[in-house]
Amino acid sequence: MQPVSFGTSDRQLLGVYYPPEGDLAKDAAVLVCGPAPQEYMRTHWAVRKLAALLARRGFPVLRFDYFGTGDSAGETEEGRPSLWVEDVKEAARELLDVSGAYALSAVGLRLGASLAARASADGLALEDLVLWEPVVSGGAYVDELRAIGARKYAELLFPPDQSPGSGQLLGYAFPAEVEAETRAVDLASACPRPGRRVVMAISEERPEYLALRSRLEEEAGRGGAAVAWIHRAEEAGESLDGALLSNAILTAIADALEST
Amino acid sequence: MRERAFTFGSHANLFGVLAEPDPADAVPGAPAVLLANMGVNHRVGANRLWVDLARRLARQGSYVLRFDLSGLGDSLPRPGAHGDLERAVLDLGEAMDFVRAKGGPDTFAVMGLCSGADSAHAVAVRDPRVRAVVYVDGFVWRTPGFWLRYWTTRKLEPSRWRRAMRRRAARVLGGPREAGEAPEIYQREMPTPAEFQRDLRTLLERGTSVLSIYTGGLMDYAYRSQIDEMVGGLAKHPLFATDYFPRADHLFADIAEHEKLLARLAAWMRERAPARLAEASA
Repeated sequence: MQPVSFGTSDRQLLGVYYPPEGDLAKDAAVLVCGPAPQEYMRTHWAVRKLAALLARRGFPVLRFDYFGTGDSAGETEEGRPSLWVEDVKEAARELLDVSGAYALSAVGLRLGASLAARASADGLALEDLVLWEPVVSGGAYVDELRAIGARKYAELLFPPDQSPGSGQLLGYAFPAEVEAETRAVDLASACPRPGRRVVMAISEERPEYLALRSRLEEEAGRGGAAVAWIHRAEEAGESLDGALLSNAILTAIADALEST
Repeated sequence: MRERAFTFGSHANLFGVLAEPDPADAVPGAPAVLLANMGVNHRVGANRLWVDLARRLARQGSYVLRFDLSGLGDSLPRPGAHGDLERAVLDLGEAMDFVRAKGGPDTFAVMGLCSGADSAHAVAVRDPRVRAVVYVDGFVWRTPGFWLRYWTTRKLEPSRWRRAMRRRAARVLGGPREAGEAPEIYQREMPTPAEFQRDLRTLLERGTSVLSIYTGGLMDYAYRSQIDEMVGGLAKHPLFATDYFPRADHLFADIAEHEKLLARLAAWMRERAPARLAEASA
């Protein structure tokens, strides 16, 4: 595990590179694209665990923080999806450079799935793209986070304002322009065209996931990327958090990436 | 200000990000600041609190290392069998060695929130390099003044009644649980009041500054001067300071409260520069 800094001097991003373990490094490196700030902390364990697991299976792996998130440069209010798509492309270049790999796959978690799909639609060449509990509709996602915020802080004497226009969401600055960009995220419209395969890894058969699967399968029927489906409801528990602490889904993602 | 990530420590198992001031901004003799985990949150801190704080303090002239204790975040476990506090003290000591080796000072301020305050306290008591320590929602116990308020004014506040009703409604209506609502997975090791007062006296008499901050998110803390009651005569010691953020929750989720905490800590650290301390004691 090695810390790596990349990007321009005013937009320095921090990542953690995992060299492949064992004698036989895989040809394709794996870029792990995490979620947006509001879901960053509660998924960090799972992202870390997946990266280490993939490295043990022989993949060179990079996980990183987007601009304005985690340890990367930038104020929280400066981060936004359009910049993060560029960060995905920058991180992909860095990973290919540092690993010497010939090809690249990506695993995107929550909003990170939409960002990786957008980067792919923009031309980033991917072997496999794993959409892990993807955010399909930015609008529904923001509404869901606001509802979580209202519930989470309901017991406080002075609950932080989670309403639209408050400029904050779940502990992070969330200016109106960032909200507008986030609401505009539409995974189906950014449907990736990877060379080989899209893997959907989910814990719950939400209607939007089934609709996206149908859409991807239609694309596959027209010669697009093949579609694989990982559903690990039995370990998911009653909430998304359960899924993100599930070893089964991490193993299933690693198995899928290995099954070339 | 520049930041670089490193692995360090006697077992090369610790992972951290060192923020270094621009040479022109560096305050001579200012203690370097150590920030470690808040509970099981990694070095970034809940709501990115430690990243924001590290950068602000580095911009005003301090070295700041935010890092993960052994076995948390990106740091690998430390070999050998150690208790939580013993391990944290070893990790924090190695973090001090590392900052010094990177050209930083040999005096330190350690800041901790929640269980992070426990390890900050433990290392401050044991390591004389620690010249300043900050506890945010650190040790607390119910004082006579707490009980007096608990059974009188607190019970009469409309906002508390509203919260009680919201809680009851949430229980009746159900709804999914959040990660933060999970039952506690670790037990804090609290000193007795007498032990804490003894430790605090040791620190203050050694010349270590102490800032103790509490939030409205801590159920056992009810009013601004409860800490004074907790520490008795030490409350008036010139190196002992306190603050109370009644509108903040435990993790400063409201961005205005988050900003107020950063400003308070930055101001307090400016006063820790040797020249300012000498001025204050003259």
